[in-house]
Amino acid sequence: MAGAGVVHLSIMPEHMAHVTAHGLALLVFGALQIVWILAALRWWTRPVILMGVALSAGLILLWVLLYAIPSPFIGHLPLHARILDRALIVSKLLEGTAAAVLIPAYVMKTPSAVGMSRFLQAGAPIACVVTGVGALLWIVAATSETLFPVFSVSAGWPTWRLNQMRPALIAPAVRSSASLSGNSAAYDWDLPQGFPPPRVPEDNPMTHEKVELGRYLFYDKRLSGNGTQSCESCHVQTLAFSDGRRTPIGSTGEPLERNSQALVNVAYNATLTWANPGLTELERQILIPIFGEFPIELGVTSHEEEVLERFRQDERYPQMFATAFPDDPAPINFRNIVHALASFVRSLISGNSPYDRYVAGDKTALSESARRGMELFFSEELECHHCHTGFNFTLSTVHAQSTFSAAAFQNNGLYNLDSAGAYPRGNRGVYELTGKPEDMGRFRPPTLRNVALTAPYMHDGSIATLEEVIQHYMAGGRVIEEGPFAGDGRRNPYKSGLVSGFQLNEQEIADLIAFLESLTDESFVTDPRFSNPFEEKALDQIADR
Amino acid sequence: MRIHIFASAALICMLGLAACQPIQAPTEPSTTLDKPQPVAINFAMKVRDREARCGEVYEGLGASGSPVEINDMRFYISNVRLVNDKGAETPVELEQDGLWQVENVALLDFEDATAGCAETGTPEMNVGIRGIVAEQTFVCPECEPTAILFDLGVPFDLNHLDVTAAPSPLNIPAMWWNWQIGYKFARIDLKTDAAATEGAWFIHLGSTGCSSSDKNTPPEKPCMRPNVVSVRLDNFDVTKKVVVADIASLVAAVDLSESTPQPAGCMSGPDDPDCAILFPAGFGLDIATGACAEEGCPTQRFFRVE
Ligand code: HEC
Ligand code: HEC
Repeated sequence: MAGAGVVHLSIMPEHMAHVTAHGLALLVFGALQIVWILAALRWWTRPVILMGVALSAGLILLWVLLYAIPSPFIGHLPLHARILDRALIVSKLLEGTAAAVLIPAYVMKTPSAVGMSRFLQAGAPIACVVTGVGALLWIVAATSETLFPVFSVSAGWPTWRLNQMRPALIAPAVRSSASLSGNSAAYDWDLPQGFPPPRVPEDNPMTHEKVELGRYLFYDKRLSGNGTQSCESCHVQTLAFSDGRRTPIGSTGEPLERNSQALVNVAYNATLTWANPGLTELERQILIPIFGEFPIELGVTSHEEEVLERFRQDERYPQMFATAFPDDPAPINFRNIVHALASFVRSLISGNSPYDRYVAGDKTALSESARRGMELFFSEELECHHCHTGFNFTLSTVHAQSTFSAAAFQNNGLYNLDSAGAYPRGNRGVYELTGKPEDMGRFRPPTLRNVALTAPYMHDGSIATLEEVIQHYMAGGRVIEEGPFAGDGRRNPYKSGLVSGFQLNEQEIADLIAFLESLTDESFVTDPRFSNPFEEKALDQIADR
Repeated sequence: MRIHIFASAALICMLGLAACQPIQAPTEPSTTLDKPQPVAINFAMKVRDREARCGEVYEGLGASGSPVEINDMRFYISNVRLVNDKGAETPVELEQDGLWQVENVALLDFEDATAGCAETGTPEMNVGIRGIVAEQTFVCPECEPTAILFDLGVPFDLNHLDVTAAPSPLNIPAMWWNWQIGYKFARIDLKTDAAATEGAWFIHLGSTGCSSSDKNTPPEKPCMRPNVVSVRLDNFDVTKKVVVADIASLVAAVDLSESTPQPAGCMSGPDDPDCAILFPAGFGLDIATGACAEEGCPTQRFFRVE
């Protein structure tokens, strides 16, 4: 009984946040059960035992009633009772045991009267009390439910609480898919409010050791064939892991066709890189910069042994690899390098911008101008939110609770070389892979978090500033007057219908930019967990001297 | 003292019995009543009598007789009920499949993310709902199912969740605006010959006039214009008939060759000229109030039985 009381009390705050009445009821039940224990220890009499029966069997009956009869309870739609969560099973089992002990105890204490067996004599009050308590509570609950506010909504309780409750209550299937990432439980994501757990492949669970190793590798130039470049060469922390260039140049001097992507919440991207519907795992994507030959980025191909040898000879790495991959007898290999890098890239989570603080309730976090810009951004006139939607500002988002594929690619009218919709060769979006005409110019909508730091913009870095990006969308596409790329992108037949142009005045443009700037997360670009560990070491050494 | 205890026990006892009364009553007369019966209700998306598919062009739609390609076709329904010829109305309790159905809401999804539908669509499709219904609704020997009722829309208490954390199928960003407005009840994206919007003619049905401090905050009270279409379709035999959603008849009265931009097509704006005809003529809704134009939305032209 005491156990059931503790269970009730422990789940009370959660329910309090959800529906006040549920919380209050649990508080009362838990408190009564515990008080009863104290009473029973003091007075082991028939009325007290009978009360105990009511508090055990009566509550079981109440639960059965909730199960059997549809009630108007908020959140208690018919399904609710069917879900046996752990707290429910434990508390009902404990109460059942208590009832099984208390009922015989009560019967034994009942004196047998003339003409009536002891069982009948005791049975009547027990039945009365149990049905009475159970049914009475059910009625009280059913009628009073509506009197109490649904606290989470009415008192401005942060919505994510309500919503985190709901899937937990409602969708068992959702819960089981969430356990996919269960093996990363050991890793503390430290997720921002409103961010769901990311999806993590089962064969590469997150660990702090792998993330830390990945961080060293990310910043280590020895991971390129000729020792001149690291991942950081194109992904710089202060620029939200973009590189500030239109398009980058690989370690051997070869130019790349695409703009270096910011690495912001990459763990949530439904597909990776600018336009590749088939590339969904970081473990596969990261092979590209390391081994890719067309174009060469880090250029490790045909230098494989050389690169591994550099790490084997290092004073730090053998130990780091061994702790990150304890089951691997020869842990310094490319599979593990890629797994560690993927873990580090997954850990790059950004969700602490002024906008996030505003959503969390700090209404001073956004300027007036940014607030007006936010309303514009989410408006039906601008349509930005259709493609840059959700907590990560992109439709292309998956997480541990996702149940549908979310790959998304759109043509936003940057080019129209031949009036038939063509984009420049090599940069034709999904079309490069599928060859389907309708995939011409389709790219993944990038997250807009930290976008103020990631100029220049678009897959080819062809737009220099946020103001020009907005002008591009205002015009409903880009017109290029002359040169090899001349054409009217506004008339691109494959352009998304959601990019159809709108009008803003100077002030409104400034407001929209202020909003986009409010998505900059200063703590992300200065977070020491993501910074260059070699520089840190250098600084330490200077400090030591 | 003893009397006291006895009296209070008796009181509780009586209350208990009284409480039992209404609870046990319905189960007494017939034991078949609470025997639930599985039911599957099939839906289809059509353009007149052709199946609606992504990537195909359909000629002659709307008042303008425009050519139309479909880029999205999905909608939420809720509160499904079946009616038999005795007039009894029974709710269909949806199977909680963790995917297409949650509580009393289901998503019907006819796009497969190919061709134009790739922009925002998902490859997964769903063309029917599954649930249980009390047996007597339509299996009793003497009665026949005669009608199906449902709402095109998401009920208020589920409409303003956070799409990121909400249970499936309320977790699809493409079907969600924001906390304030909630879900797109129906998303029918068309590409037509409307020159002003380069062909875009999008139909996004959802609530409007929802008040909260900003778009990231859910409203406390139901929205001014819920824009939920209550649908009643007669002559519906669940074992033989299909509920057909017909894009051609939805837009029959609308000039698809024109659309005022901002936004292209009708996104439920109460002052959007593109909604002014579509709402009453297609959905049977009064655009000013967000309620049915006539009680029960009998003038909706989207759904029919086949
Ligand atoms: C020479 C410049 C360069 C180097 C070096 C480089 N990258 Fe990149 N990175 C890019 C470019 C360009 C893209 C976009 C590629 C595309 O769309 O085809 C990109 C894309 C990515 C993405 C996909 C992000 C997303 O949102 O989908 C990840 C992850 C990534 N890089 C990680 C790394 C890692 C880890 C390394 C080191 C092993 C690395 N990159 C080295 C230029 C570089
Ligand atoms: C139809 C979907 C769609 C709509 C609507 C849309 N975008 Fe985009 N956005 C994209 C895609 C796709 C890209 C990448 C295009 C490319 O690189 O070719 C993009 C790129 C951007 C970029 C560049 C980001 C970077 O890191 O390079 C910014 C900024 C941006 N959009 C802002 C907006 C704003 C502001 C609006 C509303 C006015 C908006 N978008 C509306 C799909 C959309």
